[in-house]
Amino acid sequence: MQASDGPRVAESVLRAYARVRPTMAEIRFVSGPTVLARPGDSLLRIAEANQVPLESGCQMGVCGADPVRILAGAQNLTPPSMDERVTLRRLALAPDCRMACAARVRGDVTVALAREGVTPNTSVCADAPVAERRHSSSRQRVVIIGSGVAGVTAAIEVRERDPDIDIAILGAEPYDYYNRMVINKLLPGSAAIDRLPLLPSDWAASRRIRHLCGVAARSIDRVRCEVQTDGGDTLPYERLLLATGAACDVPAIEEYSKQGAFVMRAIDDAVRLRQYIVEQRCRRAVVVGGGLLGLEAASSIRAMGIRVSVIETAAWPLSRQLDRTAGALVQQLMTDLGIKILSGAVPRALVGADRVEEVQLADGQRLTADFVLFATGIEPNVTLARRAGLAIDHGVIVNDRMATSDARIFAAGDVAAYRGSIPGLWRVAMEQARVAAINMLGGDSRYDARVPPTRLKVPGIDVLSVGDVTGADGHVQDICVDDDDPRQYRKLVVRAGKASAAIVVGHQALHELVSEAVMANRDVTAVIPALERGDWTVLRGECGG
Amino acid sequence: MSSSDTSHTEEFGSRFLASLDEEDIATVLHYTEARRYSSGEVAVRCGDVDRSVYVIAAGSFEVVVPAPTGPQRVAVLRDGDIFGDLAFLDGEPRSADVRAIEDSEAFIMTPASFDRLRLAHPRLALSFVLDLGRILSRRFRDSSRLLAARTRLWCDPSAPEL
Repeated sequence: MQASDGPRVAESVLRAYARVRPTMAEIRFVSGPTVLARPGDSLLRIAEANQVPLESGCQMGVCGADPVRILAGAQNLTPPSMDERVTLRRLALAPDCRMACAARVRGDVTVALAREGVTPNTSVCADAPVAERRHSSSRQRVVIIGSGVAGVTAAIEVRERDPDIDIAILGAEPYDYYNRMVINKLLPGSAAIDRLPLLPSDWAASRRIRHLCGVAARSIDRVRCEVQTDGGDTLPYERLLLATGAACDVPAIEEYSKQGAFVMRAIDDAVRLRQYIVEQRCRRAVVVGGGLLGLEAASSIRAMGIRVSVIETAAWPLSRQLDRTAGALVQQLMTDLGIKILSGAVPRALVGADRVEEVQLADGQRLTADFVLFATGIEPNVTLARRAGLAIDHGVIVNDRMATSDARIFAAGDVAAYRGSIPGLWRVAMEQARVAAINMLGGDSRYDARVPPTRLKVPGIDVLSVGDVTGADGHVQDICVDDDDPRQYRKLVVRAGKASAAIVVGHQALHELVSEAVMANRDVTAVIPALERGDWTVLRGECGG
Repeated sequence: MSSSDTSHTEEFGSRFLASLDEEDIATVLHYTEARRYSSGEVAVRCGDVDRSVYVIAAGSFEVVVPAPTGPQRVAVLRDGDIFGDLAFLDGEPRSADVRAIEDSEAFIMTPASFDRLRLAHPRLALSFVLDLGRILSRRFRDSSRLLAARTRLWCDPSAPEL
């Protein structure tokens, strides 16, 4: 058979490829493709672009959704940050593991998926030497209500610090601890339910933690120090952690109870919405709420070929994370993806005969919609705490030790209100759970209420926000770099000479070092001229990770 | 169809992306994925639904189609050849297997890569699809002309062969 006479590319294209080829790194996925990647790409991006089955999560090395094993070339990856090291330790993964989202390539690497054939090293706790166990007298009991990120993190932290104590954790959802951040990807099917669990199924048993899956707490008896479950069990405790999380908050809107109104909080919410979309052959949708969840869900809905508009009451989307300029840019980028954002719009009513057909706005405008998804914030699940008589102000009030008004009861995550604030972020829940775990065991740890980094997880748009980007409180200097590319933006907020907050749109390679500099509150006085010139690699600084 | 085209436009006219300058080509390449294939590895499988378009950078591939008598090799592709171009435009399932017959390399415009290119450089994305459409329509015209010539030959054996 002769050579083909089919279409050919111009010689100039081959020459251009030959020029960049020597700069590319060879990334070999065991039982998968071998990819030629550009330096600076993360293993997660490379995997996703080449159909390697790896689930994404926070994309900051924190949630643990994307562990990989590095079989060769570990030195050709950017070294793990403090955050990533904490995650790797928590997951008790083998020492050759990395989180794919946080590992950027600098040379050739051979990668295996950590979940294929590698059993996580969960013997850490079981092997703790018996002789060194501290609590020899009365056995202590910790009960944790809620098996989301706060509850599970606390359970693991308690066990790591005390090999002996009795730990029971109960969760109402019938699923193992899973990656709530990506459930919207269940809609187009770009995520699969069986890849959502963040820990191996034996995570509790291997740590001798009693896990009551699908069991809800019915009441708390603070006098007898007991929790009653809806299964009729009674669990006595010395220390109790409330990690009951939150439900979706829905704004006051007429006819909300109509068919076709949805929220997105748990796996089952996503499954129900997907069913509705398929059965009703939905073509148009409205998402109410232009925060992280709203925009990410809109992107997943768009990926199903549905025309989607987002209604945001604030003047720009992501108003908690972005300033006006960055907000306007993200609005434009979303529009380019085919997602229309109506900022400063207030929904008034759902209109339709027996199911949603239109959303009516306060200004009288009507938007056609086969369904409406509400992503308008969270309502902490405080029913148990309220009945138990704990102090509540929207959430369960906690001090900086995460203790509630009852010294034996702690709270962490979306149910806890610290200084009146409930950020509703994965990373805040983890940090609060860690603090609560230490204090429940008699230690002294204080919660540092700094605003952790958040990223928008919409394919094609890279947005990072870290620290309090809105507050104006003296000694503030904003360093904004005027990039030639109108699709990029960056701003560093400097307070008293220190990196205190940042917004980065585009510039994906800068995300980790900007987050680290802000979280470390690094002194940037000496490098301000370089920052103003646009050389932000100086933020890597002298701390050396 | 004008037959007065010079040989200069022949190369220019039939090659994909020949009208782009060096800088634009580098930009388009930046948005592609690149892969290595070991000998025997399948790049495209018959029946799969995937809209990526491939350009062979090194090595060679065979195109194999299913036939009643067993799989038939219908073409061998080498560096500079393109495949997957039809599915990129029409989204239909792949019509053949394409398999590396030696250690090879290709760069790929996936739908996601193309989306990113489209958002960041709309002009280049437009050039990319128009040019792909142009070389495909050129191929279609060529085969139509061939068919017409053969038909003529069949009707009138005295007609000059093409």
